Amino acid sequence: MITAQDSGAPYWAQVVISALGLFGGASGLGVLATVAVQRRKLKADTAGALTDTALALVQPLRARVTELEAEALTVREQLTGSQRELRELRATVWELTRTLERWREAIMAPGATMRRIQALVAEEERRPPGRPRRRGP
Amino acid sequence: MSSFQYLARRRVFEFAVLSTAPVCGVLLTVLHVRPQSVELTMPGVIRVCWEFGLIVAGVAGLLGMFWPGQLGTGLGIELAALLMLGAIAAMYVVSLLVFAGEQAVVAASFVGAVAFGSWLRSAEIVRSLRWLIRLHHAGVDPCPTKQT
Repeated sequence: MITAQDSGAPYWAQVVISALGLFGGASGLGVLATVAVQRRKLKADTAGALTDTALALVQPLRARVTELEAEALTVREQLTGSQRELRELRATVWELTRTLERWREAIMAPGATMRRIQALVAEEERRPPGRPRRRGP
Repeated sequence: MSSFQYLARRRVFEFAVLSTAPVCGVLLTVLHVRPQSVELTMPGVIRVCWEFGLIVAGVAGLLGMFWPGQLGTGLGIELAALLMLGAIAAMYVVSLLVFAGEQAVVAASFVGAVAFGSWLRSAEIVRSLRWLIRLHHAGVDPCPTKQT
């Protein structure tokens, strides 16, 4: 059978089979070679593209973060200012309430005279310089 | 290994054919048997190449299917393997038809289907690769989960 193998089949069949085999082998090897050659280039390109993409993605985020940080700083300053103002206002209100109470006591006192009240008010007006008047803007 | 299951589930037929090919080739080599049609119709060198081609194409195809690195590389290896497998199957079809004629209709049909499917899948891979390259040139990352 081994000796008869070449004559066992028609010539065209052998040609077709050989052609198919050559085609398969050549195309397979060719594709493999192409892949092996292109791989490194494509990989480098992909890495570069990825870096660019990542940068393009990160850049707006970075700008946004800077913007938000500046905004947060402004808001914090404003908050501190508001708290200070609130404290001052509260102190002023307390002081005014005290003054009002004193005057009311003076007015409602049993022996209250116009003169005595005027003297008290004048004294109050004079006294405060020892303590700063909180009536800022 | 989720990617294994994922790929195998998506291309079951290809996986089955590609894993059968090397088994078949190894059995032919180990058992020292050859189909009579192959023995009779193929010239000596081509017959040996055909046998080893079965193993090589199957192993390379599986390797390409489950390539852990870049998607493009895996597809390229798979493409090469499928082109070879298609040629191998077509060779067997020709030798079957020459050897057995009408008797080999069923076998030739199914083996021919393997060749046809391999070449169809090759064309699909070529299209995918072209698509991949175009996306890559456009600066789009085609498959973010696939980079390694």
